[in-house]
Amino acid sequence: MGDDDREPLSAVGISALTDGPAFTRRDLLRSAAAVGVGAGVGLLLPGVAEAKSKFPIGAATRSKSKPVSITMWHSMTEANLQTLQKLTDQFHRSQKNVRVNLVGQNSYTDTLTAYTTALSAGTSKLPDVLQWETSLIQLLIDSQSVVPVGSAVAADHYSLGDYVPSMLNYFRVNGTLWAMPFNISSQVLYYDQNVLVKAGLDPTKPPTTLNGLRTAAKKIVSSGAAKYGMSLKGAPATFELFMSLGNKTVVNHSNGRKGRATAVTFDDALGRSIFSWWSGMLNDKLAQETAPTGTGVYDNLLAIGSGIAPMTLDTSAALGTILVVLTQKQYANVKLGVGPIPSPGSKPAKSGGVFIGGAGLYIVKKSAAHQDAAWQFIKFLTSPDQQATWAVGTGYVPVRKASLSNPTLSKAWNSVPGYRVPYQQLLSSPVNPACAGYVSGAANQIDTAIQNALAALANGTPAKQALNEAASAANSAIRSYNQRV
Amino acid sequence: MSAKTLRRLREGALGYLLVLPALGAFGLFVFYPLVKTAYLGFFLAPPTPNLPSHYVGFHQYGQVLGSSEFVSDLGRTAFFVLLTVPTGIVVGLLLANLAHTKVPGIRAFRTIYSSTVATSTAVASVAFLTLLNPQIGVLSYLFGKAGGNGVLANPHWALPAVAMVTVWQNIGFTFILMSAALQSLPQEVLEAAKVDGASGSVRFRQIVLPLLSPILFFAAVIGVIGGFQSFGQIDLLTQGGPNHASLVLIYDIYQQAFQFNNPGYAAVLSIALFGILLVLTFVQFFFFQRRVSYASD
Repeated sequence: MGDDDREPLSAVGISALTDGPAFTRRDLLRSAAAVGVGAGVGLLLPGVAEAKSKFPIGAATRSKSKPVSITMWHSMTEANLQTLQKLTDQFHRSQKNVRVNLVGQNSYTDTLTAYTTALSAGTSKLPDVLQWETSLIQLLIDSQSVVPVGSAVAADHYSLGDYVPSMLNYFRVNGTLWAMPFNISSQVLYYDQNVLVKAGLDPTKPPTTLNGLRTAAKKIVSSGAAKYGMSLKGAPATFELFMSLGNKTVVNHSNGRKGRATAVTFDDALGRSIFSWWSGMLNDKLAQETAPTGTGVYDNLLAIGSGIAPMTLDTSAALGTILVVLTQKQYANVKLGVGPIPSPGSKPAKSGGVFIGGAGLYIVKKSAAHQDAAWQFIKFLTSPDQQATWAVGTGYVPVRKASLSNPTLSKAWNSVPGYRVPYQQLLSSPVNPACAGYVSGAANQIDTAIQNALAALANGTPAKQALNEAASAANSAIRSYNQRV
Repeated sequence: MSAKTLRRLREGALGYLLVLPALGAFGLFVFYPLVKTAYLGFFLAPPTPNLPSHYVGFHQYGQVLGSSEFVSDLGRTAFFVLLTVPTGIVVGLLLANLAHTKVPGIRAFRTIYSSTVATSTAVASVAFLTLLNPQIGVLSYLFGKAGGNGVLANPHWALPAVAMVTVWQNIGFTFILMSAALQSLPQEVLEAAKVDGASGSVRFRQIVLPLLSPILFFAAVIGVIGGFQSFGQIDLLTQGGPNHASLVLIYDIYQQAFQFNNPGYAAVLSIALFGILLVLTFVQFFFFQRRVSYASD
């Protein structure tokens, strides 16, 4: 899609709060199970069979033992789980050939652990449909245990024309579509309109660039409207989004999409300027640092409520929870605004855009009937009406453009216009390697390296040094991963 | 074969038979995992366990144990043990002495002092996480650290904060150990010293402490082993951060094995941890044992 299709981004204030979807983002404390010395990790069990090159369309329908019973592993809890269950019930009523058994794994981290453990036990222990965190895509591809969704799309002559292009773009590696986008979110700017007014800023025009964000933060602090201009949560995805908004890659080989990434590229001029901006915001007391993990993950949002820092960047998936909290009148002084994530520099980059957060749905290499059944279910879950139900019930961004004409969705979005912001910024993101987001099997370590560097900035490490340390830690992690794969 | 040899054989066989269940359990849950872990260290582990691993011999051992990351891990772990073990013993001993008097209501204090033994690491960690939270934590306000990044997000204070929680949690255990030891001290020796005119502090330093040395030694060994293996509080409080500030050896093992999918690397670290604890325990036994008085009669 060309630049003509891009819809203008605008900030929307939320003044009328209706019943927002009761969505609670899972961030459960991991159990405190201690790892004993010498906890042996079972290994060396090969066994995932090679799938046929052609996807077995219709195998579930032709199967002699119907219904074909399949398992989906997911990481959804609370309202998200209820909505997923509702969609699964709908799926069961809509056809007789496939039955789906939902198995909750609590969190993406737990799913990763459970799936890698199951891989060593052989195919029978694996699920058929897998909900898998976006950033771990290369690890799953390398495991050779999933069938690319693209092969099902081709065999089924299924049209992808209605899917939001930037979402599909994320799941394409070396030209192959590996998964279907399912629960998708994006980072947005949350702010308290009342504080912006107090600081003499226009609450309908929140900052759209990092320089603008700095200017606004300065005004907020100097006018005494709040102690800090904003909270900066040291999340690696925020930095990576700034890179993609500036149309620069995070790792080489076109963000790992035209060949396995061998080194990072984020330590370039743009990376340096983002790091110095970040460090400047903290050093000049224009922003406070908040924790990216643990129980402190909501501190940046709580700081809007407490009036300590009226702006922050966070996932759009938190919007549902924020609205629920706001309806409880605990923070009656807050008038929430939602704006697109600002771009680096002083002008929005023409070619930049954002990549997705959340998870995709994968088809695991199992028998032909199971693969086909999995594909049927994935198609159903990502259909326009189901995505509308999903978006309204969870606060995630619909993956289909046609979902917007669904009456339930348009009603919900009209009452809470903030929901449009993440959708529009994803819709307007160009399809190119920088905006696709990076893929690497060592993604967990690369993200940890960036997170450590951002934490170092908060404690006074010079921007250049922090960035170089992050790059060298990430590079050695990539080397180690590539050696092992 | 004489009757005597036969009897001896029979007794021997019975003995082995009786040890067999214990041996089986140890073999299955301790020795086999230990050997397997050492073996895993010889392989570059693939990112997922269904793929082939590459044999590299001692290369990985050399690479991991020679890395600066390992040295820093070790430094932080040693610092953590130094922060927790002596403090824990001193505090426990102090409280046990305070509670070792016969005054009305002392049982209530004994219960309070030993109560942390009934608190799980998870509960203790979550309680302190809330107390130390920079936005809503009481401790943060008391220290004037409210707002911004809290103690746990500060690279200089993260590990000491975790150590403080650990010490607090271990107080109950050390208190019970020390109380029991104090109560079993031979009263006649203490009374004789009293009659001889020894002051309270002299009696404590010259008589009580030497008599307590076996239990102090025991608490030190257990404390060091426990300190090296402290995982729950780190996972719940800091996850090894910020910027590796609380990344101790055991947490690195966890991250490598379960977050970075690198069991080979984790295996090498596990063996290193095992070796360190083995050596430390031996050193403690041989070095301190000579200074420890076990004689009570």
